[in-house]
Amino acid sequence: MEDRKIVLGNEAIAYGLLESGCKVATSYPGTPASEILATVLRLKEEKSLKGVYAEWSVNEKVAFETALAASYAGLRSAVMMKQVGLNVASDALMSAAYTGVKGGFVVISADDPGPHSSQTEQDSRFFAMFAKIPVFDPVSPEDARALIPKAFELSEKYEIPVMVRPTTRICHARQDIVLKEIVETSSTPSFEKNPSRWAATPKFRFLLHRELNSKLNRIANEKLEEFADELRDRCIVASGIAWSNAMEILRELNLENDVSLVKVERPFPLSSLLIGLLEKVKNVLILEETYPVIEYQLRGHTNVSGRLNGLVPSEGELLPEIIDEIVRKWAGISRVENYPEPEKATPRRPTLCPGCGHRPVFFAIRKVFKKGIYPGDIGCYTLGLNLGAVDTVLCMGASVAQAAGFYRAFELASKEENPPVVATIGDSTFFHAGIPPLINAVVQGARFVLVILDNSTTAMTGHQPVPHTVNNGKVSIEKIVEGCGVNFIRIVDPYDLQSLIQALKEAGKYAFHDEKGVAVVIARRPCIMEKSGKGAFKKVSVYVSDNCTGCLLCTDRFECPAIIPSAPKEPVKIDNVLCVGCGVCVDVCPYGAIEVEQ
Amino acid sequence: MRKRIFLIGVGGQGILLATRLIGEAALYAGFNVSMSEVHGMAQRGGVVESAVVFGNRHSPVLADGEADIVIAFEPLEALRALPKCNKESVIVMNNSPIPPFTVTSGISDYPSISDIEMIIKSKVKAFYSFNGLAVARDAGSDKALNVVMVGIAVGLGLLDIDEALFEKALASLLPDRLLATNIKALNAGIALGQNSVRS
Repeated sequence: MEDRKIVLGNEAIAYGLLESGCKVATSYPGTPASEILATVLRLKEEKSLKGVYAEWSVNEKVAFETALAASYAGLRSAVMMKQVGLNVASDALMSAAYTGVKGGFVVISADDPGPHSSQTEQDSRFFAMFAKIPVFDPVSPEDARALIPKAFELSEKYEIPVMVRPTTRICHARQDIVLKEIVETSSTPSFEKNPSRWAATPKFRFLLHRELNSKLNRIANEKLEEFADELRDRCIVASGIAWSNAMEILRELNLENDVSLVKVERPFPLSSLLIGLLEKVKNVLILEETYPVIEYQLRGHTNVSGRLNGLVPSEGELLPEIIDEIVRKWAGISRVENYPEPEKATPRRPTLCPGCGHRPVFFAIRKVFKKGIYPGDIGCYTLGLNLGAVDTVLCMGASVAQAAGFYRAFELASKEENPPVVATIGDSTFFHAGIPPLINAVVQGARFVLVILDNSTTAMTGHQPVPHTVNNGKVSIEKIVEGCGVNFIRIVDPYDLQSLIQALKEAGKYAFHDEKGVAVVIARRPCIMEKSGKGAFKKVSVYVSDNCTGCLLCTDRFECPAIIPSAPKEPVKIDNVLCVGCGVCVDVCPYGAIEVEQ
Repeated sequence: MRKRIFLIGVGGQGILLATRLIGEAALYAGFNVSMSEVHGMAQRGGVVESAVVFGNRHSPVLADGEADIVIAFEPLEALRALPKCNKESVIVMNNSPIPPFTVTSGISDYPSISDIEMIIKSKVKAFYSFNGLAVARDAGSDKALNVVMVGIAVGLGLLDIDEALFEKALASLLPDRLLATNIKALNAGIALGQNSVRS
């Protein structure tokens, strides 16, 4: 009997990689891509795949270059990341398109239309077009798995990096698929020296560019996809989850027999066969996420509807209800409202977990640096927003350079007192992109306080390991900080609120009053969701005494989900199920109204 | 046959496990299954939505008006799920509230449970409201609310899957040490659902 199993889209992709003989897989975690490498690592362990190497790299650029070198040495390799991770790896991507590859090299960049958990809705397929490499766009988890071997084959045939671009709705969909046996194949690495290619100087780069263009022309003529010979007068061209949604909508609207629906597996370079077929079609509608990649390649055609003529919205996910509306407009079908209008429901925002070590830090920052500017960064601790202690969130590692930038801006106009600048960054993000800006800040003599929130894991994306906790802690945050030239370093346990406040005051004196430079406070406390975090403190049982005035400072400034407000000026309550017993709130209350049960 | 089930609640309530529980049971029953879920930051106390569809289907994402069944883990979230419903939809709701953290620290206007129940009742074919949390607590853990809610839907006869398959699915999803409590919670949910059909 077939072994059918329900797998997550990202797991399906991992199966696809290992079934295709991928030898080296690298990644930096990021929603919605994180479970791909996690699954590769799990399968490697479960199935004792000795010929597979997989790692969580320090950032996407390092991951990209590591996997690419394995491909130069003839091995099938893959790098995976979220779409904004590709920005970090883009320097390597652009150049790798020119040098080309040897062993099949697949770049998986997971997009997040919506966006659900990203800073942009950027379209990695557009990036593929910019880099001049082919890209596949899966319509389902099963399809994503099936496209991986195709991507490896295409990559090897043309010696070109090939991208596979799933979106959140593919990565985080689950579907039943038939599992295949993973058979380990042997392959011997061999690196053929060829400086005019692997180390090409600008003159040779010109030649490589010409070769790349020729590869793309030939790939456009490859018949990788099946298309119907005849298309109807009305034709929808779609890729990715938009195709799957369009299938459902056409069925709902009974248009299945009147409208052709073309699935584009490879949006770039668009099949020249398809371009020819569409020339004869009277009305074409293009549905793709998130930028008009297919559409730009059909710009010579008339009667094309999509983003460029405004029929398809230029931002947001192509959810089924959006596609429904687009198709109705395009096909001239009136709309029947048969579902309830949205009710007004108070919005609900995410918050830091009860017992999170980040919470006391944000509380303390606002307490010590009242009129500060607080550049923030990317991770769980972005939620310091709720506590009013995160003012900016740009991209990975930006807090450090932005702190220096804010300092400069105010210093230029300095009359009296400048606002204290206090930045926060997590441990994983510090390793990822926080070190060069720290060096720069020190060298240029910027003055700010940097708090490194060290929870010893990449928590937001599912607890991937961080450099200072693997390999017996060979890498040390404090030594790196010291090596960057920082002369003020304090390491504190954020559960010890008094010491934390004291350390911040000293850091402020050093950076602002004494004008000495960058002061770094490392707030170290393992994530409460980790075993090491759950067992790392003496649990206390707290209760609210009669002294509570209902001032709600604890819920506004500390926002622990275990402290429940009832009404203004009424005492708060402790939810004993949510409370983890860290006892930090005892020091937060100005009236001493939260007490430890003896 | 095709069933489209929408689940909604607050991060931490175990909605993804409930989704997978229905999906695995549907797979054992011989259906093709697809599910859709949201990961990442939302899981930390934000709104979590997921969908499970079994039968003939291409997209795992439910459009507005498409849900046959909504399982809401929290009253405010049940209200938020209404656009996913149509006049034929059935909603099963846990009526123990989790107030959101909002600008006014959770004391902004959270509608009364009876108001919420009245609104929902008027918009769909059938509506069931239970204190699933109390049932979970009786079974031994607040965290088993997710399994109780699935159990209630099973007991109400909404899912058309043999109830034994849910126990099998639980065993495939949970470590042994959690199994006894969760089976107890599942059965308590099923019993509650069955009783309210009879009454």
